[in-house]
Amino acid sequence: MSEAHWIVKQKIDIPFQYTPGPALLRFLEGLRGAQLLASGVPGEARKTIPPLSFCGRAWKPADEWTELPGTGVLESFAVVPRAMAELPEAGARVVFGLVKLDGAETRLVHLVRAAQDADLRVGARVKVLWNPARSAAIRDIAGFEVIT
Amino acid sequence: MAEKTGKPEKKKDDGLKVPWRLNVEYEYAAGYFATRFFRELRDTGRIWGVRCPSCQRVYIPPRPVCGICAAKTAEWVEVSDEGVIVGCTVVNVPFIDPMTGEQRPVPYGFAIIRLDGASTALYHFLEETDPKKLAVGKRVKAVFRPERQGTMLDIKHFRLLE
Amino acid sequence: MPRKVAIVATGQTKHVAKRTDVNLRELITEAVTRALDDAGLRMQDIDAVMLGNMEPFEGFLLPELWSVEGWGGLGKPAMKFNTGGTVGASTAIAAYYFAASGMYDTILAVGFEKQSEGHTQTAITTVGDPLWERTMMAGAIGNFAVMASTYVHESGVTEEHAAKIAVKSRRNACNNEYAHLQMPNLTVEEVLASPYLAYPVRRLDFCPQSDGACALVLAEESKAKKLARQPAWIKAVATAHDQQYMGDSPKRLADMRSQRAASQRVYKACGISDPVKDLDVAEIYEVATYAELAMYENLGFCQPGQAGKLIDQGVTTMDGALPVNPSGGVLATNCIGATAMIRVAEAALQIMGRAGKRQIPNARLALATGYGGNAWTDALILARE
Repeated sequence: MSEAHWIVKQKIDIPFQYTPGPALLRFLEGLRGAQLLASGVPGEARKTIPPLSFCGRAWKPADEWTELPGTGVLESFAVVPRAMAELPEAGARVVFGLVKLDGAETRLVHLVRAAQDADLRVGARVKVLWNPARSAAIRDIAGFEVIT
Repeated sequence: MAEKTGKPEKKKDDGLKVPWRLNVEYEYAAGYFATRFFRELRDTGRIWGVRCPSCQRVYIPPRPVCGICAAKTAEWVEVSDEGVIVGCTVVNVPFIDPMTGEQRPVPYGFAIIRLDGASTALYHFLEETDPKKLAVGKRVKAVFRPERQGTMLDIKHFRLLE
Repeated sequence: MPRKVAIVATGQTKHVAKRTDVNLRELITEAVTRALDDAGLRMQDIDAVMLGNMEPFEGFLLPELWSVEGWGGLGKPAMKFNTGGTVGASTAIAAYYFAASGMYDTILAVGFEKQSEGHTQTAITTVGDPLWERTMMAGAIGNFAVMASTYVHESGVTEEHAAKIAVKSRRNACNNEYAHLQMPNLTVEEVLASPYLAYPVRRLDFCPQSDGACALVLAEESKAKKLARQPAWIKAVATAHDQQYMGDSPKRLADMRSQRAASQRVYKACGISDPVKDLDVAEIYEVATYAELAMYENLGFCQPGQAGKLIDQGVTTMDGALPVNPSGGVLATNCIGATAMIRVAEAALQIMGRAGKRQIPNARLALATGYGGNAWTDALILARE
């Protein structure tokens, strides 16, 4: 802190309670049972995951449910040398990726694993990895593994 | 920035909710006027405002411009550590203090206080927590902490004068 | 010259303490769908969307991004506003500007807040300057309590006057199917027996925290005439601000400079010289009973010091000369990002003659206000002509 221009350190710390709503609740319960559930407007091809309860494009309820097979395409990825402190992987090298699951129009962001870095490429096929212990949370998915 | 997301939990009659915390650290630049104010408070225990050259209002907190006249302030004016209560309350309602993430201890008294020599008034704590003993118009005096660090809390609170 | 613009449709959710059955996006969709149905429009008919919300309350940054499919924003021109307590009215005023300017013909305005997801008093405390005021501030409750003590001192209003306001609001709310706190049997004695949240403000002197959303459809003249049998024409709008620190305005509630400025501006634009006589109804943003009393003075409903007399004489009750908050007002419902828009929506319903059990007969001229931040006022005048 310079004596001429003071800098005052402060923090803002506020707890919140987030309501997932019915569609996300069903999605989270699906994760507990190792299911990937997408939703869409009945009769329309567009399926979203995480699911929306209402399609803003069709302006109609999106209440038709589909279980996705758990395979997809890696559309982008980032290699993080040291994961930030707030993550369970704190300090470790992790890869985040955007995965377009087969049967869905939207993408999920999650951890990506590959046997070797050379396997990490846009367009690579991936499949879901489940955690053995699941609690209806996004971390029930351990990540997506590149299939070689 | 730390966003800590908890496990989803089902509360009775309350559907599913996911608890999480937003905990962010900031560094505020005090700026020239506040820096000078708080340095004086820390080093000498004296309270200074600035005067508008146009309307002659003495502003606390000190600031570079009088918002009413749109005139640059420049003249520093020392004000008293005694003043008058403009508005006051005793807070009973419990709430989480965003500066700590913990519940702020209640009850506590706080007031808008116009220090003698100032035109505007200042928020601060009151020592008194019995609303029956508080009133608009009563006179108060600042009680300083023995160790001052250059914050508003260098004044512990204001004490009612007889 | 600005084009003529009217509110042609409204939509509200049933406001309650906690909507755990829907998330924020789904809550918004409810209000938007109702407003579109009310107008007989499809989402494709909307040219642009204006959104209002106060972010720290739910902890989402840019909730408009996360919720876009809930308010029909895909591919449409849109803007989001965050002006504290006034935000709902500011959002309506922004929609008015866009329609009046000729930029867009049919505009959707949406205000929303899910207070149950955060800690309102905690989030509001971050409004305070971290160097000066945040340490002492106790949310809106503490601020209004301090201001109320000054106002009581200046005006001579009593606890009983305040309690009468509390009773009026919660009883009026019984005629409003969307209102949160409906208390048909509330008495002055019960209000006076409720504990102090922060002296002199008692629990029943203060607004609740609500989850809710509100939507409006605004249209320029030719479309408005087609979309509504009786549109609510926007005759004048104003926003006004006071200085930043709580102690800058010497008497605060007793001397709300932003309320005086904004209301005088819209009165002047509409040729209103005596608001009690000229206006048929007012929907004002009164967070606390004492604030409503102070606003009577600052909105020119009475002379300084006469607000107590106004409520004693029943001037602002449902059958008085100027009914204030037939909807129950903020004292019955406060979902902050929606609240000031609800004032506008309720004023519009009165003008359209569609306010149901809370309708003021033959309402032709209505005032709606928003109030927030430390001292920020929005004002709108709606009319039949």
